[in-house]
Amino acid sequence: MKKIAKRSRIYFLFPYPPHILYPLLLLSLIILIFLFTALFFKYERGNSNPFLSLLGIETTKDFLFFLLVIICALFVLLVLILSLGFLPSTPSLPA
Amino acid sequence: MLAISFTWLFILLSSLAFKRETIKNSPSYSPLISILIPAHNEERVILDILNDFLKQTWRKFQLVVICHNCSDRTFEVASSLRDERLKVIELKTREAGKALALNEGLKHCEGDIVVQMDADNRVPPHFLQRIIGYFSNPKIQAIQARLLTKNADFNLLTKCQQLEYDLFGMPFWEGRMALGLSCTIGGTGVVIRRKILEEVGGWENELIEDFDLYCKLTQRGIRVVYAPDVECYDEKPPYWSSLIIQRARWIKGHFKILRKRMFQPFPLFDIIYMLSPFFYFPWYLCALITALYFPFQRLGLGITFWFPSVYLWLLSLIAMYLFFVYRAISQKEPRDIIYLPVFFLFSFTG
Repeated sequence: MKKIAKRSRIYFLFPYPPHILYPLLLLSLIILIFLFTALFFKYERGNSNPFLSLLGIETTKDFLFFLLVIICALFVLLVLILSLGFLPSTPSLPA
Repeated sequence: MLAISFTWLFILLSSLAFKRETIKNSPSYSPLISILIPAHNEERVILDILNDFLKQTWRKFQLVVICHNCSDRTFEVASSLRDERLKVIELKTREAGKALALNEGLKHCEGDIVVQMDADNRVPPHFLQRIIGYFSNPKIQAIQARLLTKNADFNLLTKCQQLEYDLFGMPFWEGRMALGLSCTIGGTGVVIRRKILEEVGGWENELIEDFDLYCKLTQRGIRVVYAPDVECYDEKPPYWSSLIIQRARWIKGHFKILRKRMFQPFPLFDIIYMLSPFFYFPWYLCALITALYFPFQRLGLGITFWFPSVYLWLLSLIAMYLFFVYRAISQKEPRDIIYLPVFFLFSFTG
């Protein structure tokens, strides 16, 4: 608790350092894009597929490949964000 | 990576100057068309495509179905149709490969024009009539039909593949045509004069025999014309595992052909196209560097990026996105814009 309180003073909005916060935010964004688009697709096309099948997932292998796609997308977006300097320079982490 | 991004962008933007080849409808031109359909365990779909061809407005054709190493009832189902234009062949070989079936089928072709199809395709009734329109021009030796997605409504993955073809694949072909280059071959919906096919020795048994055929045609100076009004509906893999297996086969086949034809002469854009799989590696290298960014910082091994290149890359991504928006609107499919964010995520790996 003490650590988190100390971090909150360093990182203004969230008590997490950027190397945890940014990937988490991006991951949530990517998953949300997939989920909302799948829902929209279901609504627009009147598709009766179950939700996982709608995302192209039928077997465990499909799920692993889907995760791989999300991880790749996350990496590529992180490259852009880090490279363009959207992130503040990493503050020295609390000891 | 920047080079490939800007080459792709340049070709996509060139598609804005694309003009369809002029079609001459000469009533005196009435050739026989041979349609080759290789089939491997396709009992579920084979009747659909055969019925599509039997309903064609152009009646002078020959259908050759090659049931290759089938363990289901494809042969029986295809043979159940009674039509003198239909020829069903059963082929058993030790080796696998679509090219074996195609070459076997070519031996049975009698028409001047050969159409290569997949067994899971569908075609509209005017498909052959429109092909004749193109081939009545004696300068045209080969055409590639427009590939549409048969199962786009199945799930989000097939929808993304439809967008990939409609917003990227087809403009890519149009751009190449506008630049005076040859359209690449898509593996189905390919139409070639039989004489040319025989001259190049048919298909070679490669993982992607279509790309190999394209190389052989390019080396002989034969230009494949893109025919946007000749439509062919293709079935796309509906699940991630089948999609990844298909793409891995494409990449492996691409490398194999690259190794085989590396030292042969090709036009510059074709060399870039052939080398394109190599450009994907920097992409994943970037991802790896990103993954290692913070551990490196912690270890005191700070890494810096070369900013101008990243800005240019971002610029190319934004330009492509805007092009896709324009394309969706010009194709009268503005609702596709809603799918663009998920399509972009899909295309990072697709």
